[in-house]
Amino acid sequence: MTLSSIRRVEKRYDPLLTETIVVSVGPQHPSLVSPVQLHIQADGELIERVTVEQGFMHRGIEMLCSQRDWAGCAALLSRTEWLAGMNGHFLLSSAIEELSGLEVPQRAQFLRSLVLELGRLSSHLYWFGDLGLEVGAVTPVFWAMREREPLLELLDMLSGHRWHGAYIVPGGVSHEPPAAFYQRLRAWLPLMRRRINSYEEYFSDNAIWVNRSELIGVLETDYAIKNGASGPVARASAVDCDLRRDAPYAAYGELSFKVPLGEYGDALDRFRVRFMEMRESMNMVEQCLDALAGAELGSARLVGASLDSPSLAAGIQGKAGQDPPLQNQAGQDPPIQIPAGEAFVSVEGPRGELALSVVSDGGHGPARVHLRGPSMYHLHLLDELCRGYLLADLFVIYASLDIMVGEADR
Amino acid sequence: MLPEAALSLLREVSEAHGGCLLIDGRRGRALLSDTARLLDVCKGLRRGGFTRAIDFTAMHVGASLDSPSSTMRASGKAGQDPPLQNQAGQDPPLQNQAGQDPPLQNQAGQDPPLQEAAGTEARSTEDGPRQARPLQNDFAFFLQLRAPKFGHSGILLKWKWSLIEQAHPSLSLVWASCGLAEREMLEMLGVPFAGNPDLRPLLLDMRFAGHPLRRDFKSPPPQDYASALLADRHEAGLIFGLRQAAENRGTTRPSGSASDNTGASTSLDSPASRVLSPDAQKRSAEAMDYSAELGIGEKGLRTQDSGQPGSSATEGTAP
Repeated sequence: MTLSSIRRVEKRYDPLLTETIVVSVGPQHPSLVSPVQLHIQADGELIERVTVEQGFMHRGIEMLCSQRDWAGCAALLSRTEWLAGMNGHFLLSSAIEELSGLEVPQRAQFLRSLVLELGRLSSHLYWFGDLGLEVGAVTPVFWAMREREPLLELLDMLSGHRWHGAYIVPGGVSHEPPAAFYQRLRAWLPLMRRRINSYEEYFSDNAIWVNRSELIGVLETDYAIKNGASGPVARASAVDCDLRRDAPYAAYGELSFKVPLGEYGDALDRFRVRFMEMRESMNMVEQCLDALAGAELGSARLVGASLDSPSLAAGIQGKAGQDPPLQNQAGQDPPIQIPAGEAFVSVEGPRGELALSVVSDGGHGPARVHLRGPSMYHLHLLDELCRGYLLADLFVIYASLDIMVGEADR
Repeated sequence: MLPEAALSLLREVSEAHGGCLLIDGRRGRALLSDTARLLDVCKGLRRGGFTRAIDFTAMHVGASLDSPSSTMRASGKAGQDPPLQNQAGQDPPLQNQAGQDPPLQNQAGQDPPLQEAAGTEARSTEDGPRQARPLQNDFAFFLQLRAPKFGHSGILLKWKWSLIEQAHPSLSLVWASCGLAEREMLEMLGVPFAGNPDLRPLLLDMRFAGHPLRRDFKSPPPQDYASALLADRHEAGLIFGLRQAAENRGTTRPSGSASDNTGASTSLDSPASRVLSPDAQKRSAEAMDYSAELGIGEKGLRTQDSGQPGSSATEGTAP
């Protein structure tokens, strides 16, 4: 709670007309994609306080991870943030690389960046469709799904799975993409660029959207920093943070991109920042494609050689349908053992900073896994963001935060 | 790789508090050896520029005396420490302190004559009552911080804490975002945080007992979800309305088949008996009783057509 949110409530307070009521929204609600319960204390239409209850989607991912072997963990982590599932595979792979000292070949680094950016595009497109629904525009969701479809087909081509593609494996990526993948991706990019522009205009030229989002749900810079905001939500509040630039992983150190920042921290800024990010993502995808087509990366090996007992990589590949699955089922290789130690890895996900803490005791699976997702922290920003606004603004604010409950509840 | 400015800040904070930080600048990690200065160090770091607390989590390292699997894991855990001891290797007098904690406590967990092993510390006074306890309340805490001032470079602060001596101080007054993480840690690991004003459960069901991420946690047998749900509904009085509706429709069963189904329902309840309290078990048995009258058979399918009672209740799939 900040001073400005208290003032917002005081300014609009009307002692004559209304009494305080408590509205319970969710856990099942047409405007909430995933289950969250919000207890809203409202004075008429004016929101005075929001209490968030979460946990309806808790699946015990952290505990399950500590009971499974390493290959099983990757699949579970990808299920926390399913719109960009490759983030989970990347996190676990880089944790294993940190624990066992694997080097990732340069070509694989570029392919990783490429896939991570495709995941970001896929996630942001989904958010864009959902945003339209929240403000009463039904068409954007069809546009978004139409644009996502070729993207998901590309990921399917790459890994055999539309959502949870296990393409990133410890030591690199599972295999070289087929030539048709590059061609189709190159053909998709210019079309997408044009359409992204028209979609943004559709919203930003629209008086209804601008009126409903401008100076609505203002998140102040200080409050964002103190309360764990990250990713586009923090950047819209002028917190200049982006792990891809601040602590480069994969091939981001060699890509050039801008970090878009907002000015006021309102819902409109979060909208703008995400659209600018989509454009930057497409630039990065193009840079990756150029680098991958170049000669110096052309013949590099993709999977690290030091993973001499390849059952982990093979297990993940087997899921992607690349290896003959019978070899894995026969259990010829024992599950891989990762040296004891601790690894802390972070990735700039579509919603913010995803951080994975892994403690290995040298066994077939991790002893403790903890995933820090941005959505849990963003979800609890709602109280501050909604104070002093109307009930009708609640879902605009909620949609502008782009909360994924599966990752908040784990 | 930590920038030089951030590294010098870390050294400054460490020196201000008696050199209690063992710093590994290459990997951006720091081990806090003197946990009595935890809050001071945290405040110093925050004042120095580490204003974003990204993640705060803990791991239960206490070894259980009875179960061999957990002692095995604990011995593996002792092998996990070398990276930190290597960091500690820069500073010989502190290395002892740092290396002392987990391996010694794991030994203490395995050997009955443990007073000598753990006797170097103040907690040896509590050894008498603690031997009766199956578990040691030792945790490793990990805190990830980022400094906007130093280009959002991050450090990882690590320390060990034994909950037997005192509750862990809350960091939520230093970094507000730690409050949420502490809520999660309390329910997952059973770590109480002194000074956190809001420690409501965050993720788990209210009926759930125990702390699932502790070493000594034993998973309950799979819960009979249907009977628990019926018990809840019974509690809410909904079931009476349902029964009334069934009576009005004339779908109630004669008493003979109902008692058959009651027998089946007790066997259904038995796997859940460790999860539900005796009171709730009784309620759920009652609820199953009603469910038999309602015509919800063993397979959970409602058998309509009250015409021939008895025959369809056991089949459960009468057309």
